[in-house]
Amino acid sequence: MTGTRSNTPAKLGASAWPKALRSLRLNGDLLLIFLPVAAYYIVFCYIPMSGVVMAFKDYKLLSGIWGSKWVGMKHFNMLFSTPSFFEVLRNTLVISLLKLAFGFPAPILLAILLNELRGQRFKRVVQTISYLPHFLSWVVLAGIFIQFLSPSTGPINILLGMMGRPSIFFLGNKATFVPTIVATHIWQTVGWGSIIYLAAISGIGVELYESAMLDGATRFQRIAYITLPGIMPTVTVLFILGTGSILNAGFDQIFNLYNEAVYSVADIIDTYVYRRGLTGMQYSYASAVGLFKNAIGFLLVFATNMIARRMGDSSLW
Amino acid sequence: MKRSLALLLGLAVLLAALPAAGLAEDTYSYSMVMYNFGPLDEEPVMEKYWEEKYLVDFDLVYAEQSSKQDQINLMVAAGEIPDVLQDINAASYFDQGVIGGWTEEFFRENAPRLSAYIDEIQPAAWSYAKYDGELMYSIPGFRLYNSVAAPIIIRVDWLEAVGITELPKTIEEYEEAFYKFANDDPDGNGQKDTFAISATMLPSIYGAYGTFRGKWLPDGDGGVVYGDVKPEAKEALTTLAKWYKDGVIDPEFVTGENQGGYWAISHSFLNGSVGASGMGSFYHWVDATEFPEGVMVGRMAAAIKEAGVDIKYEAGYPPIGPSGASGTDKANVTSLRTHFSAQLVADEARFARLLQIIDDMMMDLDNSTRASRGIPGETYEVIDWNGAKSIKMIAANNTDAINPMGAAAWFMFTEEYNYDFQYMAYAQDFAWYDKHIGPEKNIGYESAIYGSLPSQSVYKTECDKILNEGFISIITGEKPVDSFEEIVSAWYAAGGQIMTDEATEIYKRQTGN
Repeated sequence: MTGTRSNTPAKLGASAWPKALRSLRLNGDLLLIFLPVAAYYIVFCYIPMSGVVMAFKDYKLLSGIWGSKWVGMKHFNMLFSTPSFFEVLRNTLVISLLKLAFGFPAPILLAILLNELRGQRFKRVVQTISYLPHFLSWVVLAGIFIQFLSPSTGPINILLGMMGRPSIFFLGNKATFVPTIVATHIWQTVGWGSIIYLAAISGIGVELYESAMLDGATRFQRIAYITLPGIMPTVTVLFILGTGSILNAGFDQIFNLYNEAVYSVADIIDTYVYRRGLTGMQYSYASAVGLFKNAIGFLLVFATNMIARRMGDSSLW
Repeated sequence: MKRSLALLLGLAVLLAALPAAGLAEDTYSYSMVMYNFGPLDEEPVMEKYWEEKYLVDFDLVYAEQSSKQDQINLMVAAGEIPDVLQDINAASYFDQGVIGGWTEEFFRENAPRLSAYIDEIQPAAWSYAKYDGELMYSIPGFRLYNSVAAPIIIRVDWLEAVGITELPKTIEEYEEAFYKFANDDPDGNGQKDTFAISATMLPSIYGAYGTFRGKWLPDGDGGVVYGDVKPEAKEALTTLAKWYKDGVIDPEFVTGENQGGYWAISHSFLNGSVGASGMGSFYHWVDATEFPEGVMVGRMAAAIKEAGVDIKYEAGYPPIGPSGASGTDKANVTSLRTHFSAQLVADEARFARLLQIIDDMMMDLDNSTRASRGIPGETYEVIDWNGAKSIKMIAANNTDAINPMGAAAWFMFTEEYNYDFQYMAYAQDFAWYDKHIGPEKNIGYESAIYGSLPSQSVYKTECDKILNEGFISIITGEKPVDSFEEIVSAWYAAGGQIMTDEATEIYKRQTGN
């Protein structure tokens, strides 16, 4: 019996406390190994979280977070009463939802396509090239795209001109700015995003494909009935997590690509708050914005997770 | 063996502690977080030099420039406030009582040469430094470069190509040249692929009509008005909208002339899509053809050389409008770069000594040259050039080499020391200025008030957005010019009125009315 971890049946009437003690005695070594991880999260994630009270205070450096004056919802009122607030909230949601709608399926598609490739070398080359953009910062990429998409000197417009079409000012036109943002976002993230799906696909048993092939399943049938269901739990989990960042429409990207001519469709919460934060150390205001965004994000994750669970599919918890 | 090692270690610790204890008790010590170009040497030569010269202890604290504000905020929050502070958000540090203030009298007593210098260059700077209208919270310094307004650069090879022999002066002459730039194929490639101007020339057009965007200007009635909302801005917009429609303005002006890399590079000018630009400062355009080897070349001039394109340019006149107005962007020469912790200022004797040191270090030409460039004969030498004194770097022509020793900006308490030093350090730039610009072309709009407004952080973003969006829509023809009045009233309603009142109050205080 020694060394086994199976719990002996609890005695009737035993309170919860001795139970916990017994669990400690049984799993003490494992808990000990877990301790540093728990400590890490408590010290570096949970304790600093208490600083969120800053959002309800007028933070002053000398008084510190706890000594600063309480101001209640002042910073939230300031945020919601900004004339541009609903415009930037709308822009954030539009860009974010479009990115989710088109950017989320893209890596799944790429992963499936890559998986169907026969030539290993070609597959590797495509994979490497497609995830390279992930490592470039938007400061660099923006410079490239501004030149690439320029209506006068950009290669895309030169090509359009050769086909006899009028040039398009992708970044300076309200109608084309958002699609450009979504497209460049997909271009940058699709390769990197496909890695996790490729891993999920490689976890699907080869025997499933072999028997399907014996049964005469076509390529598309194999994708539809084996690959897709096989990676569905991964897809669900990533989708749930993705909804959490619905109010993060991509600051780096938009900040480096937008301009005053497209403010009405491009200005998002983060860029607006950034411009506003430039002129002062508005820690409290910034915390209020962060808290608002995260509260919405949390609600969405929670709701999506619940729906996923109801639908009987896999879920986060 | 082990025991002797421990003994040795103990002795070492004791010895290390000795010099500190040996310091005279009345040696003043100053911890300073200064502007820098990177980390310091273990024992910076220049720090030692100044310590021995002034018999005080300087403690230079390195904080990387990009994250400096955050690092200083952390120090303050932890209660370890450095004595001397640079690159801080002065307004909020003043509000929170982190920095200290002192009387003008105290300053004049301890820094007589600096005081005389301020009186000579810009007496109004005394009031700029008095954040509360009474005490001084910083030491005014003056940036010689800022005495030159933003440049107007025009391609003379294009002017020649379209048959114009003289530099345009009035807005009509500019209009003629601009239309020819756009229509008469100045680059001679047989294609209609040129424009006259892009984003950086627009300010000078507002200037020609007697206003300037983004600046507070006197309203002639004892108060100030924001340049964007003056009726003159509507006249400028009328012209700009017409030019845009006629293909004079590059439609890409909305994304700016710079497409990444160093900020003062105008790619539109570089790749030949526009024939005039107001990018950067005049020194960015300084070309080295007339100087001996080894001198500095402006970043824009260097970019043109590097690209190997055939561009000939000249500094032009800011266009003169119908009422005779003209001007480009001009900054105030005053800079308040250094602040002092409230603790240091309260410690009167220690602070007085530092002011005396600053007075000597910043105002003496030999001292300031040393502070900036290191050791004479080793890192730099003063040479005769073009009939005046100039500084020649010996080791390397950049700050990276002299920063670690505690030179470059580590002891720059006031903006660029003094004008004599700056004339010497930037001799080539100002020789170019004398030859190509001169007072006739150096006309600029300067803000009527110095510093920022208290409520700016609350209203400015929204207000700017209204103006920027609105003006661009007018120029591109998306909205009629008559929507100007609508934009102006939206601006006043979104906080513009509050900011105008505050600006007027500051203006009255700073001009002493």
